[in-house]
Amino acid sequence: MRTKSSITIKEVKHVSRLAKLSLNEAEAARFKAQLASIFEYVNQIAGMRTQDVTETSQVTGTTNRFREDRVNRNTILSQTASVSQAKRTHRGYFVTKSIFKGRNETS
Amino acid sequence: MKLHEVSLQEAITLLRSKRASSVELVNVFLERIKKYNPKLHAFITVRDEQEIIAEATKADQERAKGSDRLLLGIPIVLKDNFLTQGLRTTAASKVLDDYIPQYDATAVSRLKNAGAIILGKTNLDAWGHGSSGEHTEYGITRNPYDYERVTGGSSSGSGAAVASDLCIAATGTDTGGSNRQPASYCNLVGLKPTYGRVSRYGIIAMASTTDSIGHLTKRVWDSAAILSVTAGNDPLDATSSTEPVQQYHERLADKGRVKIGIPKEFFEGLETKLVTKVLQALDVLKARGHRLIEISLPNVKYAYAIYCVTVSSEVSSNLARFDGIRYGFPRQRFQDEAKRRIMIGTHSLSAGYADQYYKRAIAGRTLLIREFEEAFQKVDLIAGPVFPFPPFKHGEREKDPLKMYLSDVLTVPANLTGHPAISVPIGFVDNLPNGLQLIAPHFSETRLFRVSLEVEQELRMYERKPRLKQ
Repeated sequence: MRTKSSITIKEVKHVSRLAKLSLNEAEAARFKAQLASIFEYVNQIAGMRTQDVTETSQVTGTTNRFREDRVNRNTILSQTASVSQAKRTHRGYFVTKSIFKGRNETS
Repeated sequence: MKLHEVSLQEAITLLRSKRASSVELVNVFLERIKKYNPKLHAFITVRDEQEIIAEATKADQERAKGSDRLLLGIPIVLKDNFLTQGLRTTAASKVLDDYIPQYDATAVSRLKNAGAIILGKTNLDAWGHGSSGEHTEYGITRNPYDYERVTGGSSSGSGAAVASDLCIAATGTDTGGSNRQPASYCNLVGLKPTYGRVSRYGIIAMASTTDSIGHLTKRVWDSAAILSVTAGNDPLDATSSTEPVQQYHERLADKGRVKIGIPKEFFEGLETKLVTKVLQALDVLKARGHRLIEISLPNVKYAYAIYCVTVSSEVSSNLARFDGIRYGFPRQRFQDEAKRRIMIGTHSLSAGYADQYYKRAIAGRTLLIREFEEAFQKVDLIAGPVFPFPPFKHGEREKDPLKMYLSDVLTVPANLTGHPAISVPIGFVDNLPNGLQLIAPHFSETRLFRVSLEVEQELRMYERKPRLKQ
């Protein structure tokens, strides 16, 4: 059984980047200590005999559900309602952050 | 009895017999909310008083014309992670501080269609993350029985609101114990239905494979009646079940002896006084003719670890949608608890760690499910405590996240296995309430209600009301 699993500060910074959470150094250090103790506890799952065991994807025996590919007017939002909660919109569209840098995109 | 103390069943009787009106009911509660909520922090949003009174007036008129929808004119409250069209929904996080949903959750439309009147939205541990009610950005909810202590969470405001008689009943979501825990600590009945029994559509998702939509009530009948309204298949939630729905509240009279399994693992390391209370409650059931059988569920010791990985992984995925573009504010507004869970999940799913954590956890979950299924071959119900200790003081467990997380050890198994579970009040330890947890096979909510009702009739804990402060 593995005993060493403590998460490193590098890994904490890596996952915070993946999850788009910005942490300062002090936060990273604090979370590192907390996450390390949590993963040390979690590591006990290595004690379960899970080899060749089917992974759980649902719990009540539900199988695929299908519906007709038809628009239900009662369950769709109008364009106005859809963008009503956005902080920035442009002619009924959401305004997103730009992904590409250094390019001369039309705005 | 005072009007604000009525149970749902009593309120329905009063309304039907015209001994009270819906307007009287809502006024009593609005008055009490004004008086007691400033200290309790049960609500995040209280609806406009005039709108509420107008709805109650309409309900009374409708009743005068002969309508008898089950919840017609009944004042209820909703946990603030149920989307409500036109009514702010925050999940207790500043990320959604100004979010006004464009549609109602299915559970909300069903309650409205049954005639319920919504008084407001209740406090919670932000995003459902917590078992104390302390992880909110809208004021820590106080336990009505001891203002220095936690309500249990995450449905903290729902627990405080019902226990303080600020409404008739409250909705809640239970992902790892969030309805059963505040029910246990606030002397209420808290239901976690079978996974898929109630639609998750329009509920702010925490963990999609364990989120169960239930409620907290004063009495067992009330819990059964609300489930009769909210349960059922919903084309908008493909994981909602097509199993037929029963009129649960009409089936409580069926008597029958059951075999109750007592897992010895549920009692390890618990406070003695709490164990004594639970054993006393089990003795009540024994005296009523039910059989108690000691069982063993060895994989329960892994349940929290499995839960931590599985649920945090789903949390990290579900909270990824909050980008501050389509609604709400940017991710900088997430507080430590959400950040911690997102990072646990992201790490568990990340390249190099997914096999060790996520995949192993979901395979381990299968072993736990098998163990429960085998147990249910031998017994009809499984019983145990809800929390490993009685209500604790604010700040007591907050500093060590792991210690806080482990308060969920007894409630998470039913979320992982999808089984329905309930917390029913059994008694006070040092003047603080505690509950008994019952777990049943999938879709056997009726059995849960029937046996809980026997505990309720025998112990009558609902008679013990908190002394509120202004």
